[in-house]
Amino acid sequence: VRIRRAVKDTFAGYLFLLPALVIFAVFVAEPLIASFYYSFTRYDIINPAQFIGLDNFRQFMQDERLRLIYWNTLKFVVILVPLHMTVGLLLAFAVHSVVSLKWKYVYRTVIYFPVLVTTAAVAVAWQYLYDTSFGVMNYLLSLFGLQPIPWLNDPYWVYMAVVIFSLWKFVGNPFLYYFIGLQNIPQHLYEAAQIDGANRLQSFFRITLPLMTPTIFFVLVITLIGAIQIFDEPYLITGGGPGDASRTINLYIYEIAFQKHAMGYACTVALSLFVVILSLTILQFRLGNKWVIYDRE
Amino acid sequence: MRKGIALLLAVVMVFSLLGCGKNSSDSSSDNPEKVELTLAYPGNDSKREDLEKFLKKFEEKYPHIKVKLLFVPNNGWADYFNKLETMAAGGKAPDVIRVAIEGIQMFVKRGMALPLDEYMATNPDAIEQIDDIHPKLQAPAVIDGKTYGFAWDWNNVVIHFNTDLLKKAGLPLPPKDWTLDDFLRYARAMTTEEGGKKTYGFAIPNYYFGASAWLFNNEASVLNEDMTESRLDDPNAIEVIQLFHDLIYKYEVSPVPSPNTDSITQLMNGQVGMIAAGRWPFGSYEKNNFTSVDVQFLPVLKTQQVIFGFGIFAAMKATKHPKEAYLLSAFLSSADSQRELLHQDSIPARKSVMAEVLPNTPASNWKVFEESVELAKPVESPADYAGVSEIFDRYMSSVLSNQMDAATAMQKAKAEIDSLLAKSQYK
Repeated sequence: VRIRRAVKDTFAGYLFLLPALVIFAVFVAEPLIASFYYSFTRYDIINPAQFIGLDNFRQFMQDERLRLIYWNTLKFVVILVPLHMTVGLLLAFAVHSVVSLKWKYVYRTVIYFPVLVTTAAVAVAWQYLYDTSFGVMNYLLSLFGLQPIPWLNDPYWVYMAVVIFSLWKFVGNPFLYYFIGLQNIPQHLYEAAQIDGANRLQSFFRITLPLMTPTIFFVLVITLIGAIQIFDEPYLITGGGPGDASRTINLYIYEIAFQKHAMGYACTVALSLFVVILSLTILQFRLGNKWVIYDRE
Repeated sequence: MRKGIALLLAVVMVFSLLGCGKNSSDSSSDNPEKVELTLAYPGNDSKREDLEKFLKKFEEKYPHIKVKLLFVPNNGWADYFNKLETMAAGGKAPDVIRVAIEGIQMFVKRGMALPLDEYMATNPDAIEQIDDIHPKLQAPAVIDGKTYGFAWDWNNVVIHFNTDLLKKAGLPLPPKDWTLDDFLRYARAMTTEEGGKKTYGFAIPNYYFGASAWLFNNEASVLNEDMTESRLDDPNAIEVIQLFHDLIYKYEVSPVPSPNTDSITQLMNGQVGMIAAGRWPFGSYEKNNFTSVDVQFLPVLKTQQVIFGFGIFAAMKATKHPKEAYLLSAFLSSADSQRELLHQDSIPARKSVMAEVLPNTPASNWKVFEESVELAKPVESPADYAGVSEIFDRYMSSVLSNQMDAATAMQKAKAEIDSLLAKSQYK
């Protein structure tokens, strides 16, 4: 009887898992396997794929643009991840410490609002702001007697343009996660600390920060993956230019797949990105075990 | 209760199926089966009203066909074609698509376009007076002896002037044979700064079609005659790209173009005095009540070789209703269609409509649109157009942002284009 019950429970367990498994199989596993398969083929979406062995991998090794493009992506990661993480955290602390409920609500909305707006629509506006000759940014600079900045026409400034936009548009996400994380810290811990004579700084380092580590870790993982896969911001604002100066790996995959109709090679490049993200995520989880505190009680 | 509803549904379905069967068996002779076609048109739906009004006439003529309009937002022809292609790959290909010369080869060589000859032979009356369509424009719609559509609209590239700025600079409209020196004189005269408001002489055409027009005028081109190799390393080509660079950094008469610069708006706002475009901006001019505009041929460089691009309504091979798709393609090529849909847009491809519509263009020198058809040469549009134009645009942006000199950029662009064409699947 006990065994039959165990079988029944296991069955029920799998049944509960089924919806998630089906979604995973259709939207993650199948495309992954398909990409692996297509990376050995020449495929233009319309006509049947032809097997071409390792040709795509050979092309991958010889692709001169790839090095610069991976380098660009790395630069975005190195700039954007710490920036989003710290600015998001600071904003969350600031808003969390606001006492008035009304103002808390207002700040929260203002910071999160850009996330809700369609990226494509605001990107058009930002493009106008950034225009070298007629843009608002340079007009404002000129009021202070400063020279115009070639926001979208210079390999250095183009990063600043994307970073400023990205921060404005997406910092609401880490902010919100941190904000919720902060609210979930039980108030009684602070009260107990206060009774024990802890000051604010001690409470912060002994209570807030340790209990926030799971949130920080979560934000780190998703921000990092988001930054490696960055697409919208350069696609909409810089078009990857000037030249290849702000082209990221995802923009490049899109270009190969949909402009050059080389789906096979695009899959090869995408696989390389998959390997990079997978290794980084494994590394993060390994390192994460050392500093993330899950146990609250 | 639930069983009752299920039973009721089943009964309804069975009867509706019976109804269908009866309909289609009856209809074979004089009451043909109802058909729905999807027509893909690029852009947001600014043309929706006009198109819907016109398609009503089609549905009146062929009551059994209903046309569903599908507007495809895009940033350029290549992007539009990519989206259609992705729809086709997903099994959702539209039945009829508006397609420009830039995409015709691609759709034909990849086996996505339907040759219409068979349907033209069985139903020749569906096309109105085919010899009214300018033969020069119709020619590229016929590939390997097969017709894929009927030239509907076309464009060349001319200089558009903001006439208020011309007047302010004390300059008349230049003559047809104006030279590069004249052009620079005009650009300099219109470049001004007043009270913090900067006006530039000329917006550089940083797009494939516009830049190709300038290359043609300097006896250069992106590709060779049979479109198998690039000619961008030719000194004449480098000279043109260098000129674009100089207009920004040496003569300082042009703004640095941003990735999606809208030069039409810049001309209307008085931010630039001249732009290079076809007749397509006139729709925006009309919408904004902008009438201070005139046009002239591009300045003579080594020659004066006008460029043209044109569009057709092609039927897709994947359509389940090829006969009806042909009828729609033919109907859309009619004089009425061009008259109603192209009154302030591209140039109509029918000689009769051209003569009728062009004089209504607010530009006094509208004749340049009509005259140039005889001189015009088609823009180079290989099956790999999307890839070629991407490479060209990328290197142009490097030059115009002062990141690379014209010669190096064009040599690199040539190498990349050559390698793309050598590996082409469409040879």
